[in-house]
Amino acid sequence: MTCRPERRGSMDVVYPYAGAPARLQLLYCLPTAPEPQRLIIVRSGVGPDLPEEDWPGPVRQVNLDDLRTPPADASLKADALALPGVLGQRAAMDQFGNNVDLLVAASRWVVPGGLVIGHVAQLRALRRVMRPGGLVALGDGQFRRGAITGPAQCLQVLGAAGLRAAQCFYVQPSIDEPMGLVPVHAATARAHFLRAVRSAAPNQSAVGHGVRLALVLAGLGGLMQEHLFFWAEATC
Amino acid sequence: MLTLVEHALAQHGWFNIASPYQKSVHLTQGACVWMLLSRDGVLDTHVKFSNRISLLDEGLRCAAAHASYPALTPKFVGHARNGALEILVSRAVDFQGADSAFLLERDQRRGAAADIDLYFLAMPQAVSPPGVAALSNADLVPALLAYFAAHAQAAMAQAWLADGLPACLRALPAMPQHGDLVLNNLGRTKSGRLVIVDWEDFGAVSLPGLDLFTLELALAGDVQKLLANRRQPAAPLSQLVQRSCAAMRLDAAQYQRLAPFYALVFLFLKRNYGPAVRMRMEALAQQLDAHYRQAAANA
Repeated sequence: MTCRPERRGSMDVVYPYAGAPARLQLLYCLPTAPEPQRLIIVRSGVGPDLPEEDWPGPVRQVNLDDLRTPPADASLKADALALPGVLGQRAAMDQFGNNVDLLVAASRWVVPGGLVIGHVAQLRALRRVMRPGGLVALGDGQFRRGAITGPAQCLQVLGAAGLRAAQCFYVQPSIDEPMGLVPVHAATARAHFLRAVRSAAPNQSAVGHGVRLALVLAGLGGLMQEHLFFWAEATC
Repeated sequence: MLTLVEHALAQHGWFNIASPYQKSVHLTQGACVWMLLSRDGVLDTHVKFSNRISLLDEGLRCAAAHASYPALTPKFVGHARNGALEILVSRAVDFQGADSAFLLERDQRRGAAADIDLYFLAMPQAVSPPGVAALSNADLVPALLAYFAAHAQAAMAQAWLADGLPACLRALPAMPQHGDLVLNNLGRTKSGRLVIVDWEDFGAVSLPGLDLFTLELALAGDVQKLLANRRQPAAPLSQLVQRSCAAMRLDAAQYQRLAPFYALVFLFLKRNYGPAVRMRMEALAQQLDAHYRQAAANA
């Protein structure tokens, strides 16, 4: 990740983060993995794919199935493991039963002190709940072990899987076009969303602005974000 | 990457990472990332970082901007480098986007017109950042001619950059410009004051009137509204333009005549922005060109 803005023609430049895939990749580069920053990307067949090139260290891709068996020797372990949209997916739940067991299996592929990084759907996000089947998924999630309905459950699941120093953020505005990570700390998130909603007021209808403002003032701004981004350290 | 940034902040004593804090990360479509550090919802520190481009010049520009306009800019803290990673740190200011009603309101309890007056009043004494690339007023015309020669606007640019313009520019005093004084870079603080951000082009050109032009255009909304507003001298925006010209000791009629040239300079400064921005700027320059040609034909 050391390339310079690419030259196009003689004078204009194209910047590296102009495209959404590059910004998604950048999100996965934000947490600092130990050297030599070997990365494993877990493919689940759903969600946006991470590119295979231009990572800070060597990268290899594995299928979800591969996580079921621990690595044959330590040299196969990586310094970071990416789970892009894997947690909570049906295929993952069919194989591992729940997110905690999936994370336990994933962390066996990471060296001690290495990182497990990923993004996951926030089941209680308003837009998600209002979609067909959204309410059912949320209701189901309330009773399923390791379901991630919101940031508190995300941190809880990471901890239950034996990962430490977990961090969780709302993705703004969406994982398909990521532009930022908002901390889930209540006062900070409220202040952030308040600034964002007030600054965007000229571009919103009076009703839309009023609804957003009311949500944010009530401390529920995080419900407007459909995805969470997280990372945590493997302990052993 | 974040850990390296956070450790650099601690190492320089710019931010205490030992006590609890929160970070929000903001991506851009350029080559940088920026981060706001807060404690319990209260903003503390703004950090811009990149491992793709150098931020050294921008640091010099931010420092110079804060020295020139201390009441209107975030306090610059420092620049650091760790291998390819560079970081720029300033104290964070809590603000929301400014709108035209706020910027044109002269009552200090409700608006920022007095702060805009302060900005243009201080501009003649503003000091350019030392040691960074800058174009003198005399060098602007050749630089623009070279740039636009390969562009679709070559003919229009040549027409506006010819005649007596170079001599006219040489007669203008040098005043370092923000370079992108538009609504996106103006904010309203919690105390109701104006804050001006994004100083990455500060001093790149020193053409008096450029910032006023971009501000006038942003407040008007588009070229047609800007031209219509200029026909109403008592309108709040026209009043602001007149006060600002007086503050800079810039002839208001000359400022108005230079509008197409300001548009070309703005387009030139935006040469490294995305295609959408450049297309908007090109349309603006073409509209101004058409208006001024028509006015010349009518005359």
